[in-house]
Amino acid sequence: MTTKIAILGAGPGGYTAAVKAAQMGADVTVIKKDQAGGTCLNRGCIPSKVMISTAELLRKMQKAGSYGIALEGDVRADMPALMERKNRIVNAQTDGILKLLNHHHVRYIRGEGVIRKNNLAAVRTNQDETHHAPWDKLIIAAGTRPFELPELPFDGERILSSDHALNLQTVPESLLIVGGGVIGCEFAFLLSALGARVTIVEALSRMLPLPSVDEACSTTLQREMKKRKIRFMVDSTVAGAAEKDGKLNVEIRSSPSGGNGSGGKNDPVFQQVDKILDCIGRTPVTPDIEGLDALGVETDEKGWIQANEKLETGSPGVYAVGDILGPSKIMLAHAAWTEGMAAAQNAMGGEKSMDYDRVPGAIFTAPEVANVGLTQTRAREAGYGVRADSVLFRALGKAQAIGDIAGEAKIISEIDTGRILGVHIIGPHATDLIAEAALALKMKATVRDLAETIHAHPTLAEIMMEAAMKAMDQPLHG
Amino acid sequence: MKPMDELIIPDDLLFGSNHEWIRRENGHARVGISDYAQDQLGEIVFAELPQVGDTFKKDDAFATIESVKTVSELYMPVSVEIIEVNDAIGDAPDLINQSPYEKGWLIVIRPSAPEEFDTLMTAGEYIGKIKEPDSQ
Repeated sequence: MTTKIAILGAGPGGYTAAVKAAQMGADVTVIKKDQAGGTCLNRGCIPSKVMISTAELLRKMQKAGSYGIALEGDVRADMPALMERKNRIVNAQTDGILKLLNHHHVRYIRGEGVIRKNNLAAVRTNQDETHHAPWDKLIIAAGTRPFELPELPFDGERILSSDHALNLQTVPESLLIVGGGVIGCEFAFLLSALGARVTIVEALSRMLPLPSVDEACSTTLQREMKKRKIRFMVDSTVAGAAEKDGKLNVEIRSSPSGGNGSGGKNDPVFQQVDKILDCIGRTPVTPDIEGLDALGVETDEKGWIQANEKLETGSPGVYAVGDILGPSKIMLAHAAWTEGMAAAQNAMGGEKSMDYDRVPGAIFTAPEVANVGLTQTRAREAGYGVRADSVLFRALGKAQAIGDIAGEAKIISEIDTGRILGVHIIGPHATDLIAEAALALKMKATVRDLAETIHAHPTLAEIMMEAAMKAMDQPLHG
Repeated sequence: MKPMDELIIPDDLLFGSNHEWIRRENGHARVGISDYAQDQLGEIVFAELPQVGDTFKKDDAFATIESVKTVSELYMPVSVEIIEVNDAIGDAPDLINQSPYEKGWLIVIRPSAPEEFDTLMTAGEYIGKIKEPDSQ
């Protein structure tokens, strides 16, 4: 008998689970409230990268003279044209997903999913029709939305969420970004390059205060912010904002969780800005899924769904994948689709477990930041005898040739064996370069393996070879 | 890179162990990096300087200088409070290369432990140090 699988959500977690399950012979129904592709495609990864492409191109064009290009007149962002480009690309990708699902004979119903009872879901469409989707197995991939601070409710005009920021028709003259995590930092560089005067406020003591991000990457990124005149404040929180003279008067205080800022400045600081962009995190859509609680799916107090390494929830036959699993897992699109495929296999009788130790991180600031594996601190805590070896990008001919010399690559390796435990890169195309490191970790490669792999010249990829040589105490250019 | 005899090492300055110079001025002191240091660094593209009011102990890292070749931290030769920072460096970091002792000064400081000045090198001692084969 064919296994019936219902999937709530068609983002990276949902649609890949659907394709995998269909390939394994299941009868799959995908229920999706809004456009296919989820947060990644519509309100995250793709639109932000389209905007970042324009922003960085604009920045380069403003330095055209130094590249030997004579540009006459001013170059500036054309936001309506940029939004059109973004929408065109997003829509094409969405169509692609729908075609993919269609190709695999996945039943796709657009509407609000409701859990009627165990083994039965219903979908209320916009046209007020109700479709039924009986299931043997259920995969919840419904995702998240931007977290809203109660004292700063989103209005799309003055107080923006990341959703609003990806649909801007004009560049704000000045902007305060709350939260120095991945999303906040990406927007800081992006909007500053498009012409906004940006301040970014973070409660902890560094930008990108993630345990997976090497401290040196934060330090370098902060220096790059200074170069671009992006004002950043660490150990600080936004206490409130009031309308004043047509702008927002924002009060910024030392945060209780952070250490002292420089010089022991504890008095509140006030900043006048046109808009505030809130990037302090995401919240699960779990409360919106009608009927879910009747299934016995466990969630924590914030609504994040609890699942084991096989993506099984507390309710038999019910799996959960993607962002809805929350920050105790890894909230990235590529983690979601790996989880999606594992959950699909398990729903079809498999025993796949998720391995979260080798999920690369990719942060599209300028310069980019990427990492995979352990930081030095975490490696030591895990009991390894480690060494850290870095090489600056400016040691490479290619970096000098393209005029992007900021940053470095660092390899964390085990002293006795040379085994690579972690790689941390900040610099041009870091998010692409990290793929070699992810493979090195998967293959349990040593620094010798990397040092003895011939890397084409002149490329940025050479930095991995140079760092590996340094880790063998045989540095060449680095 | 300049040959030794072309390096400018003014007689009236004191030098820290990491190529910083200090010029005493009316109870304060002005600090920068030596001609040798700027020559070794190459074309300077960015200087990350502290803020007025910051305090540092002797040997604390207080600034980062980025050149096309390298990224170097600068270390405080004596314990200080920063009372002035050279704003011109932001838009013209190559002032440090062109005029390391005049226009390319970095900070003005109020020393918090004047006795530490005894640990600094004279110009002659500094020249001796940079002539050593393993000096960086």
